[in-house]
Amino acid sequence: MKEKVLGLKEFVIVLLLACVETAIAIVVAMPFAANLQLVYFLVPGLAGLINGIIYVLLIKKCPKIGTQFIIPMIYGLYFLFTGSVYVFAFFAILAVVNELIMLGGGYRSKIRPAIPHALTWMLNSMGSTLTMLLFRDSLVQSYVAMGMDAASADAAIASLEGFWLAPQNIAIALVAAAALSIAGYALGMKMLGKHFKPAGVV
Amino acid sequence: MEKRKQSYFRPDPRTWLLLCLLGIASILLVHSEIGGLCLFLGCLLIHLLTGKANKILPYALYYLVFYGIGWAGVRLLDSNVAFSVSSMLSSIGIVGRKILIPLSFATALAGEATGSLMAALQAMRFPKAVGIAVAVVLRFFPTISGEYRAIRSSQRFRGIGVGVVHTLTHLPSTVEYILIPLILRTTKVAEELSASMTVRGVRFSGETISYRPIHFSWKDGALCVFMAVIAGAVFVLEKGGVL
Amino acid sequence: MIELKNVSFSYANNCENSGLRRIDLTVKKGELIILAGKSGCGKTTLTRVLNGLCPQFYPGNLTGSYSLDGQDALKMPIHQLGTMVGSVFQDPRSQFFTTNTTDEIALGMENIPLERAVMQERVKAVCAQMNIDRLLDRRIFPLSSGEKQLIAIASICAMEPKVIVMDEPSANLDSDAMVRLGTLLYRLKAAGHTIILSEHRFHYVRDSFDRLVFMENGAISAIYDHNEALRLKREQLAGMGLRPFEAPAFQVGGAFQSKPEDTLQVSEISCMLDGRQILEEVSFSARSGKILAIAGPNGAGKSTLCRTITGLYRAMGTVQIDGEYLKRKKRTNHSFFVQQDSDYQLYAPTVLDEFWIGKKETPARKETALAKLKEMGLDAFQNRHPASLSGGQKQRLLLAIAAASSRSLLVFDEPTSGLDGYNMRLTVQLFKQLAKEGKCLLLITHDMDLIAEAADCVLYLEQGKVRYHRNVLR
Repeated sequence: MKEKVLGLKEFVIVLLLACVETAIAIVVAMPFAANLQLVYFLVPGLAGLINGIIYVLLIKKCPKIGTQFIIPMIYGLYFLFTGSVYVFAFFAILAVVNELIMLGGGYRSKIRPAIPHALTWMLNSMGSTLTMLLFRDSLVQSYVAMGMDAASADAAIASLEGFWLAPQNIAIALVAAAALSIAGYALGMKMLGKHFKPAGVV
Repeated sequence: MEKRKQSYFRPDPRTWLLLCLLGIASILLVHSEIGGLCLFLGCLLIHLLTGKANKILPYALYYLVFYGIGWAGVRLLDSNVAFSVSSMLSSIGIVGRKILIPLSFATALAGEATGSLMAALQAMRFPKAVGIAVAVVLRFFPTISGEYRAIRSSQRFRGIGVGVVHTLTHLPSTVEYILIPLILRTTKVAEELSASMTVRGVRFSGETISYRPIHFSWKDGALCVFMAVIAGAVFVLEKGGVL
Repeated sequence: MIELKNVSFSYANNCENSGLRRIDLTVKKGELIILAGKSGCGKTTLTRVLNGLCPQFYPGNLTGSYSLDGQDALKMPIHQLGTMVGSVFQDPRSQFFTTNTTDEIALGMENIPLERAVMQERVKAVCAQMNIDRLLDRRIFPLSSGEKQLIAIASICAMEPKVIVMDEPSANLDSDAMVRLGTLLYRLKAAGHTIILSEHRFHYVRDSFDRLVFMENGAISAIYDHNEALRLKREQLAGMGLRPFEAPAFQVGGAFQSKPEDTLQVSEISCMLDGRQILEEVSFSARSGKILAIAGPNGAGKSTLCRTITGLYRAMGTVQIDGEYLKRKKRTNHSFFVQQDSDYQLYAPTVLDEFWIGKKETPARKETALAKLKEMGLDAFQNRHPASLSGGQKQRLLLAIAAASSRSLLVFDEPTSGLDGYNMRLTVQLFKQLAKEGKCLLLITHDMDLIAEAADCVLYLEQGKVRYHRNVLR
């Protein structure tokens, strides 16, 4: 148990719980999918809030090299297979960054483990922006093909971009995601004492 | 005669992976409605050629549903109704149809036998841990919804989250009562699964010989070239202003 | 083949108290040994020492010596030990790694690794031996528990291990699958395999086992050879907390006569799932104060029937509870369905809190809860986390919650499948107590011990139809 890198048992635990995190993130987005503001400002944070419980369990049960890498990678793969190759690339970079953040006794700290969790869901909030912008030209052309005139299509895209890229909106999205994920981390710590430790899981 | 041949051809897992990557590249490069439709039809043809004819109707239906959502979104957008909703609907409708292409190939990849997948990854010189991870994820992901349903049906006898109003008014506790058993159960499955893998010699190191031979044949190559040619042709025609 | 000398083991996290104390055991080649004892006696830990999971996978402190076929097994890495000692676990759902049956059977061989031609030959041979050709190259998810367990065993046999260790392989199997498992073990033993079987129900190996090793508190208390074990009287076995070798004799008598005042009246229930007819015009009734066992082979529609009665599924037909025709959602409010897997059914941070989940805590509820816990022998655990209880304790807690729910119809799905003799008898007593209090109990079960000891009548289903509904004669 003294090894620093995940063994097979921990590897499987992290993988399965990372799958659950991804599934939760997808499910949480569904009821809000049709509203721009909610998708941008609320959904990533909400996923971070709920997944905080799983994240805390993971870092307490498997405080080793590999844990931080797997969580964003699994979520990133979901983006890859839905066509957002850049988002996947960013999640892959984040996977390495998160590992680096926790090197040198990160798991012994009370506060440091909250950072990778918050970063993951902050990147998620930016991920939707990226996906949208990647398909900018397609949107314009489809708008026109579906009967809009070119000028209003451009105007619609411009206001859409204006919304996603407005600095104050980016700031709100990032702050909301960070705040809710950190709240999720705190919630996870509470659940650790309430459920996981008494249940003998950790 | 030809039909028989088609039903027997099962592409190599690497072919699905390549097709998936080609699909991703093509939807990023092709922007027009008609071009997207051509790509989608090409994708359906590949599924047809590989004996997945049963998938064509559902994919076509998804395409139509997304088209409808996109169309409604654009109508609303055009009449300046609720920008935040209409722009999302149109985006979902338009991007959703594009995503169908790589996603359909990814689904075919996920449906391959685990042994073939691991062998393919091994042949591509991925570390063994990647193969194990892919196998574990593919084996576990489809079971999550079943676990969720089992928890929800038990909860109905305890008066937890019964009906929409009750669920919304007790949202935090309902989420807790769903999540905690789900996590505890997942942890237990993970431990039992890894124990059963361990005793059968699954480990990160050591040599493995795959039971299933994998072979990237000329037919596999042809499928990938076919997809690349469609994507390339549509892209060129679009650039040339034909589409 | 196996020689354990003075082996002791304690788990590092100390959560599980079922360690081992000074185990001395010698097993000869080709023997079939049953490890028996109450839950928590250390049977599972002993199987884990044999296959190397303790201490290489479940860390802990192991002392003593373990020699396998003349080699020091404690010095072998677990993957090497795995090729000599094959392991089959209790839950068929969580022990498969791949999504395809053939891949699953080949998995162990791939990791030894064997040549492809050898693997292909062995897959053929194992399938022929176990008669499971029809299961090859299929997706694992839709298979029944029994079929999954067969695949798990085939995967182990294909590795041709010297020893096969099985931890309660019958816990999730119906009676037919259990009989087939018994035949299979007989054949494996005849083929020269050494088999160690940790079990609560051993009637399916009644004729083929060689010795019965009885364990208590982590130590071996007694070892009986075949004849000595079979001579043990029913009362002796009960005193040891074990189940009998043969289910107690019972007969079904005349047809159950329905009366208009019966608590549950089910009329012409038909149900289709995934385009398949699961239930066809099933009608029966059940009375308060009585225990009705619902039996029948896997896939006969037992669980679907109970899910329909309790309002989880939609179906054609009518259900009356306490004289009232009830719609689906109302039926859920009037009944309580305890499902097989307790993992999905306990949510609260303490045992006591489970009683007012989804409701408010009131002094009256607390009083009822404490009384029920006392009846079930769980009062000492009221502040424990439910997930930290043993299988039998969880089952009793669910029973207590069902009893406290004040619903007239209580349904239990396989309530005793993984329980030892002691916990099984305790559960039977509690069922009888609930019936005495006027509840109407339905038990979906394959467990003949349970039917014989608890049921007042039996409803036998086959292919979605009622074969018979008769009283039990004792």
